[in-house]
Amino acid sequence: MVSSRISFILEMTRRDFVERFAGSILGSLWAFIFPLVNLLVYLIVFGKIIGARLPGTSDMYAYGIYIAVGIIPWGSFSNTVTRSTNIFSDKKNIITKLNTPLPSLFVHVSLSEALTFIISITLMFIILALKGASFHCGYFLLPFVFYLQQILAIGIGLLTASLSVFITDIRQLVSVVMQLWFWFTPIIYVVDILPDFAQKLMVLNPMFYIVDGYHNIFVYGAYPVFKPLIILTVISHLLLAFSYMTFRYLEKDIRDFL
Amino acid sequence: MIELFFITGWTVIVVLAGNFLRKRFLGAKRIYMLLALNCLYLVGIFGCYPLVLQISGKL
Amino acid sequence: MISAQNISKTFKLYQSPSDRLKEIIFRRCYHKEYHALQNISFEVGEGETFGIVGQNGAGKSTLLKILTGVLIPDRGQVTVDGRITGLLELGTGFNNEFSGKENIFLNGGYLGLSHSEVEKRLERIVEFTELADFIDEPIKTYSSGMIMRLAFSIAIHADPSAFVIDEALSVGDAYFQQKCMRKIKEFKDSGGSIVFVSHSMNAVKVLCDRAMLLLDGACVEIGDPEPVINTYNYLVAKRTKGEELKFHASDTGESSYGNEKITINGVQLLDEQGNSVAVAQSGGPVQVKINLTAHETIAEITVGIAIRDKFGQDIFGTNSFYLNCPISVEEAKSYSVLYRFDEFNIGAGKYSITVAAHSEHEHTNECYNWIDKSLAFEVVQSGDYSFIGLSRLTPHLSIEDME
Repeated sequence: MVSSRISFILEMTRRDFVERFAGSILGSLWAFIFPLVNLLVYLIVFGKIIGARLPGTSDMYAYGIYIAVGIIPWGSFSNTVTRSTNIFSDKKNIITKLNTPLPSLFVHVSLSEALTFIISITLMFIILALKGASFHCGYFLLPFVFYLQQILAIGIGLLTASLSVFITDIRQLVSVVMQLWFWFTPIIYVVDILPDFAQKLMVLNPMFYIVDGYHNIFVYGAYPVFKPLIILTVISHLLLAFSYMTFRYLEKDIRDFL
Repeated sequence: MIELFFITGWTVIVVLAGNFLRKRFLGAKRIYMLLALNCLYLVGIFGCYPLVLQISGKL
Repeated sequence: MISAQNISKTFKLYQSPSDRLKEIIFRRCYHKEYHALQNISFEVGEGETFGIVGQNGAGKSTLLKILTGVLIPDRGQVTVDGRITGLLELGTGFNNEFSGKENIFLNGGYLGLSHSEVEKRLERIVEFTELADFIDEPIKTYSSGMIMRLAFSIAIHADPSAFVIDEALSVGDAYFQQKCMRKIKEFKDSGGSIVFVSHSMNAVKVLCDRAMLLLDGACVEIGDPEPVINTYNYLVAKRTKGEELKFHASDTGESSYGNEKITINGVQLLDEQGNSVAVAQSGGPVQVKINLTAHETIAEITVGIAIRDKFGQDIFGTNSFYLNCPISVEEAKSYSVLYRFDEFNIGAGKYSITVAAHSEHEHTNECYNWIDKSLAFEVVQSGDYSFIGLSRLTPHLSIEDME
């Protein structure tokens, strides 16, 4: 039972990648080309062309790196949330015909987003290494920060997915909220430029701590702020447990309504 | 290198415990247990890392 | 081995899906209930084929979905030892852009097979489909028959312990259908359980060891296929007429129904001289006499007979409508209808005769009386001509010198 679920998840994930590049000559090489181009754009456009500098540094590329290491995890997070929200209607054809373990679908989404993340972040490491940046122990924490962020994403996605079966508007709502959330998180700007009241509100934004963690690790060569991450860990897991309970409670209806 | 040791240690413990749970529990209960364990694990990492840094004199 | 105990499923019908959430929050009832299945219990043993028959909307597909785990029953339990696969719908989960081979892996994954497990089976799967030349082409170029072959092959090679067959199998050509049937038989002999859903009553009679009749979500009858199908035919007649038909059944498999405006009192098999017999000679002259009494005056009725073999398959059937011989009856009068066969051209074996009196060409319009298996008889081979099979054809054989 467990092993068949694992092979289901792996096959779905494999399919995700094969499907995206099916029929192209370069095939899965595209999975590396896209993030590489994106990274170079951030580095060159924001560093060289616009010439923006991160406050407190004189490094030409610092701002580009700042944006890149924020936007890569944000992409995983927001893709996981939106894809999870739509997963029941996207996979309707197999859910209504084959015995599909529904929770496995969410694992599959975050696994496939994790793979994309790993590819991008590996390229990021290569660029950093070429730049001559030194290694420090903060990097060990990367998998855990990412893990935490994905727990939060599945927690949100599982809840919205369960509800979106009954209220279709949730799907649109989620994409709007994700858009606003992106701009409310210091990803392409620095938190210091915000007015005071907005900085105070930032305390309520879980993604602020996560993105801030990435910034600390990559840009400032420091460690994430641990205390908020601990609180966030507890909250995310509670949210996921709550979402899972809601999903279990509604599972029968979800299958009936699809 | 104490950090690396510390983190791999944690990971191994949790993976083993998760595997143990998987064989013992079935259904929803298993998932809640895994979640709780996961939570504990991450809290442990984020909570103990600064301590480890302090011990190794890097903070 | 499949075991289903007290399965019940109720669909709640809401005006809009969001009413379901309102219901949870406000604790008020926003739905109408539709009982799709009520207290269904059955077991399919190893090496057994179990038929499910019923009209559209009787709950067959809901039951199948519950068996395969797509839907969750409200009450009751389904236990399947091992994997259950089948042809639920043609090419479910296939991706048209992918090649046949890719789709084998994909579908195998949906069924819970790992990549290496599919790899091990790949050769056998492809060999069975006989699509080796096309297996690397995208399946959007396949015909529906080819997709069926692929789907069937994957499903049967996934080592299921139970297999569900429904109408989808009828897509293939005759050759491949037979190949599938052979494979299914092999599967059955090795101890697999089969659930068979079909609207072809003959197929159910031939293939199934037991059958179940569903009516509006309830199990009406369960047991040997033949009586179950007779009941099904009765239900079809009843539904089209919409009035109460009387139904009698006996242990011998004889069952009758109809509104009894006309009653059939008896059926006899007669020889040339008009003596009642129980054994007829293949190719010899035979008469079938049907005695009936009319309780109403009806301008035109149809009296028909059907001969079935020991498996319950229809061997031959006709009626006065097809023979252009209208019969009119008057109230409180008895008649006898005689079918005379100059050459009774069916092979040796045990047969039964089903007779019916109804209006127009079929019993579904208005059925006065229908008696299943009203008479059993045997056909023996005559001494002068030996053959095998059910039909006594009389070919002429000649031989010519080629040079």
